[in-house]
Amino acid sequence: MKNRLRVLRAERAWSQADLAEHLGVSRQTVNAIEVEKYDPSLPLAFKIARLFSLPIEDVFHDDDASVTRAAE
Amino acid sequence: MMTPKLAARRYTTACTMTMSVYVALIVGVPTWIRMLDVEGPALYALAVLPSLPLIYAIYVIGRFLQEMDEYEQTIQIRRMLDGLAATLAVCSAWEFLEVFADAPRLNLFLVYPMFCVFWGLSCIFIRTAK
Repeated sequence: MKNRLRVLRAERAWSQADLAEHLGVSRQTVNAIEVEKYDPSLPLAFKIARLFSLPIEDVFHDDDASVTRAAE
Repeated sequence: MMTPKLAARRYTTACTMTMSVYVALIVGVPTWIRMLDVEGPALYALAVLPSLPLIYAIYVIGRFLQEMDEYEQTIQIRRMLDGLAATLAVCSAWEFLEVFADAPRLNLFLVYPMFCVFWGLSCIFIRTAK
């Protein structure tokens, strides 16, 4: 899953440690999410989106287009 | 709120204290058994004492796992599972060596440290949650 975490963090001039403190996770976790080695759980993804006051899909997006809306 | 740093500090402190109690009991229990000259259930109760800190250490590890954030928890659980798998594999294979090939008896004392060694080794290979 792709994400804009590094960009959003840079816009606020936060270090990874700053962001980690806001989220209550370790700096390693923030780094793993940023380099897309780890997809966060849904609660953590929502927490990140809330922190940046953005809808979750503006922070995370999935490249997999194989599943389309049921209505389509 | 329990931050990752606080959790790590609490874990280290608890491990140090638990291992100190363990060493004290390992030294003390044989002496007490000789001095008190106990038998039966009292002897069993005294003899099992050194295992209590080890059991508590398992609880401490479990508590630390719960206090980690989700990413570190995933990595540690994967590492522990690998350590457990290697320990089970060695113990199972060794049992057959004992039965069919007269290999020396594997002391059960070695199982816990063996798990810790394999768990430690898995840290070299498992660096991410994927």
